[in-house]
Amino acid sequence: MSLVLSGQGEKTSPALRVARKYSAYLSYPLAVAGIAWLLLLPYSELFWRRTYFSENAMLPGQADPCFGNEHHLAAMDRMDAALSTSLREGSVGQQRAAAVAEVFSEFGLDTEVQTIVYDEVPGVGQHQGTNVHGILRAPRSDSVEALVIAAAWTTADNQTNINAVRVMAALAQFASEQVYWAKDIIFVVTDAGEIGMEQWLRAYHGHHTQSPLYVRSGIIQAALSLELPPAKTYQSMGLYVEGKVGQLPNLDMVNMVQHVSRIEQLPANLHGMVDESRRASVWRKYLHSAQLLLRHVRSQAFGSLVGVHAPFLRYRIDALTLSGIAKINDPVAQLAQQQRELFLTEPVITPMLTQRTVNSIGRSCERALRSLNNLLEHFHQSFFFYILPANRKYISIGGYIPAAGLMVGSLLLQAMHLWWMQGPPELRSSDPRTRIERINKYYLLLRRTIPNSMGIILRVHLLGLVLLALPMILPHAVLTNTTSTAYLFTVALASISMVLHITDTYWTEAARPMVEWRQLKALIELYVAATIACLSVMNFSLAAVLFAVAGLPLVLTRACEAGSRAQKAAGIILLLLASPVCTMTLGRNVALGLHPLDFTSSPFRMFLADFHHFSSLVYPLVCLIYWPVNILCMIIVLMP
Amino acid sequence: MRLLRIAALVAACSAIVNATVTSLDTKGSFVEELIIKPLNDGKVLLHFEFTMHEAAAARNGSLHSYNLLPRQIGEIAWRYDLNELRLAFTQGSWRESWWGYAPTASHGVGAEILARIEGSAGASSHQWTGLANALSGVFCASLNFVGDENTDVPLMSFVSESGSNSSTLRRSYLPRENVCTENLTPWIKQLPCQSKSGIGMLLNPHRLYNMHFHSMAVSLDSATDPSGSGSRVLRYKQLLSVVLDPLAFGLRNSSWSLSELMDRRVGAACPVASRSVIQVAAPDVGLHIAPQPDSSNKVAGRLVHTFDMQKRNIDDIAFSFEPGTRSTYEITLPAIAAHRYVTGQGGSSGGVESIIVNRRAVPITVTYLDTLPWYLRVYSHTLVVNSESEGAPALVLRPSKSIFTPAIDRGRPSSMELELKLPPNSRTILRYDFDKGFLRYTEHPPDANRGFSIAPAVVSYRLTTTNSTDDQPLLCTINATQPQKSKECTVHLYTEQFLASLPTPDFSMPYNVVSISCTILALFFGRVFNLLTRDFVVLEK
Repeated sequence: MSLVLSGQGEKTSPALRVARKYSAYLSYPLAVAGIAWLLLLPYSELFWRRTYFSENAMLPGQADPCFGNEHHLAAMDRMDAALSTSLREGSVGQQRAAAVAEVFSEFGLDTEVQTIVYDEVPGVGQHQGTNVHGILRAPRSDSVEALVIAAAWTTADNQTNINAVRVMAALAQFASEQVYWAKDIIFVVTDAGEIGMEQWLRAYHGHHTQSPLYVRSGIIQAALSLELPPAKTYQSMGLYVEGKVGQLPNLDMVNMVQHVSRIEQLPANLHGMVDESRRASVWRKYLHSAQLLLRHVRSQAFGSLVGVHAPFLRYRIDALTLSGIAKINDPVAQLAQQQRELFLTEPVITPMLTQRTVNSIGRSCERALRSLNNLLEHFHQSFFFYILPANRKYISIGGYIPAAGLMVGSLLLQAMHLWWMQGPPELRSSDPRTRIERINKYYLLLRRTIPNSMGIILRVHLLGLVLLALPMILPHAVLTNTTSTAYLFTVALASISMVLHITDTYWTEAARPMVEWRQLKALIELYVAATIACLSVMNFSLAAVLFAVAGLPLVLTRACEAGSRAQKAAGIILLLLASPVCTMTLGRNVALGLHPLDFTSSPFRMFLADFHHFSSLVYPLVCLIYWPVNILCMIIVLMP
Repeated sequence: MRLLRIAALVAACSAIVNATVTSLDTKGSFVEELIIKPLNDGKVLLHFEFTMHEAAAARNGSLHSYNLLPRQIGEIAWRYDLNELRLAFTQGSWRESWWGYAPTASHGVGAEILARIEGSAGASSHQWTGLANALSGVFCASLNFVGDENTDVPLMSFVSESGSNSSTLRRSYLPRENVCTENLTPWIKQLPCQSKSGIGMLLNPHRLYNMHFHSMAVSLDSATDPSGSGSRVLRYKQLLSVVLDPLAFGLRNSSWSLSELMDRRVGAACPVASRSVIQVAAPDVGLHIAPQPDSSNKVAGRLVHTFDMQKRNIDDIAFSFEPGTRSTYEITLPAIAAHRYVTGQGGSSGGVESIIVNRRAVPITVTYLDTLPWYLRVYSHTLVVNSESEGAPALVLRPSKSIFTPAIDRGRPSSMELELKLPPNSRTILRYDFDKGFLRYTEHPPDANRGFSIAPAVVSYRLTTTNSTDDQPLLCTINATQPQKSKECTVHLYTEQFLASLPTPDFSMPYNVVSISCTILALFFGRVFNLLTRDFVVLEK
């Protein structure tokens, strides 16, 4: 109660008085400080620390590798032979999977082929996919734990991933000769990318699906996904760690993979970005690291864009993707590129990697598998919350979470200030004689305005809920690319008409304010702050992005009480620029390298698909927080 | 005079020895057998079986004298009123889809102890823990972890051949127990000839533990005297099954010999053995053995070569396989396959999914026994048994008999025994859910983040040796040749273990606090103690 009334000059605790005095001046500096903190993260001297191994049991790189003898390379040829005969027979999916299963069972693996059917978005775009897996049973254990080597038939940028399947065959041959495995090794190949892997994992974990798995093993402790696009040799590997809902694998696992790949002369760099040389200027280093962090934020906030490791992290399985990066003048890579441009589809069988490269990749995998095999417990020693600003450097949660605290603080302080400032100025006099009268007036104001404010907030959120639920309720709403854009524009029009309607209803009688804009804004800021605070602990990148697109405009929005029409128009235009349709289309088109104003494919479709398949948070956040807050900001701007 | 005395002493001694030897012939018997079976994927199964028969010590007497039976075992049997005992240590899993039937019960990984103790369930409880403690001393194993909270009393799965109503069967499974040389050494010591002669000479730990499957077991029960007197005697069996990969020892898959495989040679038969044979269960074609076996006969469609070590010294047996024939071997897949997987993820709840496959065209009745520790709170109402056959819709299978024992916290595991009649050529899936309990922090094992190993479920079914030809476990087939052994064969099939990951507290945090505060205290104490005890004096020039 004292918090509610302290704006009215009542006696309150000293802390509240201080807050009241300074809250007006603090919220903008706090927002600036939060952003500045974020901008300081790429600067190496402040928050960076060297990575180290917490889990001593892994002993990375301690054993001599023995991958790479002629048996293992022959296994790759065997896989090629099986695949080429299966391809001659005509169809792709099933035959290809059957060929892989045949080769795997020759090496003594227990295999199974899983046929899956899935919708791209709810009710639309049915596809069929085939997963195949082979389980190498650990000789001395009882299928209690397992490690996974995964690959999709095509890489994230639509190149054939046959090299990964070949390397998997070689690894299977190699691993079946060893007796030291304490964990089963599962080799999975999917032809439906992340969704295929997600379906496989669902079946593996016994969730009810139409295509259950019968050949299984125990708990999966870690997974390694391979993406090896066609090339002769690779100059380095890219390392992708971000999960579908922003989860990250344990830092020990990332360290270990970087460590073993460096031993094998094929270093795995985060997002494929080679570190700047030591002698580069501070500014160059800063820019480089900022670029890496931006990629990291993008992948973490919107779900990993590379690799089939992303679904694993939802199942509490530490996973990452290793992706080969060809040299710029690599003949095989160039040929594949040309073929892709000419025929749109490339031949599935491509020339083999050089033996040296296969050895490096195979030995990296061998070392990684042995380290994971050494693990006695589930990964738990090292960080699960971190940011990687450079290879072998990390920023722990203690380094970056203050930025979120500052952002949330700026929202909260402003909300507090606005709450105290609501109503006419005479409510805030400190005259003790009018105390009772002031309090009565204040309560009258609250009683009259709060239902209206809440009504506006609820109505706008209802619109968001419609946006969220409509694609689920109408299962056969034909959400093709064009219609979903149309759907979006319809909702956008509806929201604009709602804005106009609300402003019409509530501000015609300007003399008797039925809604106090400060109160409205304070209420919105409260729940936006709560959302960002919760989110920052789970998925910091998404929280930062949400603050940038929804929180920051909200902090800056104010009613133009004495403002001109031009000011209002400018405010509306700025808010439209920050609206979901704009930011998402622009962001997506820039990310995918399309024309910035290409509206043919809707970004919503992508987020909706992620929500449908992986319970990704982006789509509900856009519908329930981002869009409504944007509309509410417009309403505030339009207030008289 | 003195000489005479010595002579008399020697004579007396030799008389005693003679007497002992003669009594040995009449009172006990010892049989040593080794069965070698080349497996389809190039690996080799070696199954050692040592059997001793001995008259039991009198119940009321306290004088134990045994000829062949290890005295420690005889004493344990006498002290704890044992009717039957089975103890098995296993490592690795038996891969039935590649290797066919397991030689013995395909014990799951870990240690299983099963005993039938005279007396009612309540009365014999302390004897059960006493037995476990005694055996843990004998076999150097952590069997002392056996307690009421991991002991179940199965009623249907383990029916004894000579079952008496006055005794109670108890069973406990320690899934975390590993088997190693420390268990093998006392096991070898119990053999009459140890590893000094006979088949025991082959027991080379370096080779026995570089394996793909290893199961070491002892069993004690009563049987009719094999010498034909008709009286009941104790039968003590020591069993060791091991699957080795010749490739792992630098040998070729296509030709190797027993001595190369074990890095030891067989010597002469054990002198006290009444029978010592090496049998080779061979595929029909493509295998050459040198030297020639003493006899080769077909047992239930399978060729078995026998080497009798008492007729001649078998120094070594060489195996060579014709190239290309191995892939044409046909294995008879076991009638039943069973797998159990844990479902769900996360720390709050989960489930179990067991898949039992009937591969035969006849319905088979099986008993499914699943015992889960108390911290997995099973919801028996969620149990669903579905059976699907090819070309037929899935149907709900009702157990013809079922026994549920709910758990008591820290007192008793929950166990379920279901008798299921599996339709022909069908796949039956049992599903049920559990919640994960919250443990006290002292109840977590040292490697808490690994999760808790949960003992396998057991699927038991009977096969009669008369009804089909080669659809038999190896031992049942070989047993069938010997008239005194049973004609019926109960197969106990163990599923996989699983790991249940329970909510785990951050154990390192108290440790960090303790170590930091201790460090501070130590530094502070050192400084202050130093200051307090130092005597400050002014030095004079």
